[in-house]
Amino acid sequence: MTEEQAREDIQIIKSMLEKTKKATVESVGIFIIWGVLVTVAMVASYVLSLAHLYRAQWIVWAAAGGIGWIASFILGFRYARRPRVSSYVQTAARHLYIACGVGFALVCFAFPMLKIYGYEAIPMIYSVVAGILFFTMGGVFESPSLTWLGLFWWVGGTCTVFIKGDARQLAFAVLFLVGYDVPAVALWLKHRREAAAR
Amino acid sequence: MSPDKFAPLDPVIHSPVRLAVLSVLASVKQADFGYLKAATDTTDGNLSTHLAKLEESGYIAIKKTFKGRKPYTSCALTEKGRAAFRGYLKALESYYPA
Repeated sequence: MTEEQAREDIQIIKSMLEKTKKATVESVGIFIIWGVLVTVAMVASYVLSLAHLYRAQWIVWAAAGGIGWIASFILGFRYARRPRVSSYVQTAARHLYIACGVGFALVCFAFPMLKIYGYEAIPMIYSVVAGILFFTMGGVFESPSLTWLGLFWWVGGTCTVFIKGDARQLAFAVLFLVGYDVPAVALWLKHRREAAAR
Repeated sequence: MSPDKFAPLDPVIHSPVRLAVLSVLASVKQADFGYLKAATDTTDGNLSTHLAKLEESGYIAIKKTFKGRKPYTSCALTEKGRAAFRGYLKALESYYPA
C-alpha cells in the first residue's frame, strides 16, 4: 500500500462517519407539529376562558390531540419505510422522549383529572419535565443550546408561579412558543440546510 | 520511509466497500441493507458479496427478518470486527509518521 492509498482509505472512513452522523439525526417534523398544536390549543383555551366558555376547552384539546396522533402515525409510517441506521445515542434519546412523553401525559392530563392538583399547576410541573428533557438532550447530543433551553424551562416555570389566573395560561403559551416551537423550527431549518448542502 | 516499516493491513478490510461498511457500523448500533447500499454507493449484488465476506470473517453479524412482507436485512459490528477495525486504523497511522 502506498501513502496515496492510505490517504484514500482515510477519506473513505471520514466520509462514511460524516454521512452516518447526518443520518442519525431524527426528523424534527413531528416535534414541530406537536409544538404548534399545543401552542394553538393553549391560546384557544385562553380565548375561550375570556369568553367564559370553559366547557368548550376540552373540544380544543381533544382536536389538538387527535390531529397530533394522526400526524404522528403518518410521519412514523413514512419514517419506518426509509433506509435506516440506528445509533446508541438515538436509542438513548428515543427512551428519553418516551419517558418525558409519558411524564407529560401524567402531569398534564391524568393527575389533574384525578384531582391530585388543579389545572393551574400544570405549567409549573410541565416546565420541570420539559427542563429535564432539554437539559438531558443537551448532554446526549453535546449541544450547549439545548442545555440552556433546559435551564430556560426551569426558570420560566418558576416565573409562571407569580402569574395568577387565566393570564398564566397565556404566559405558558409564550413560554412554549419560545422554549419549544422556535428551537424546533430552528433545528428543522438547520437540517434542511445541511441536507441541501449534501 | 522504507516499506518494511509499514504495518500490515488486514486484507479483509482492505477493500473500499468493506472499509466503508465497517466505518459506518463502527459508529452506530446497526444499519440496514438499504442504508449501507446508499452510503457505499454500490449495487445490491456487490454489497451482498462484501457483506458475506465480512460475516464469514466474523466481523459483522447479519440479521435477516421481515418488515411486513418485505425481507429486511440489518447489520451490526461484532467485537471481533471492532477490534479488527481499530487494528486497521492503527496500521493506517504507520503511513503517516508523526
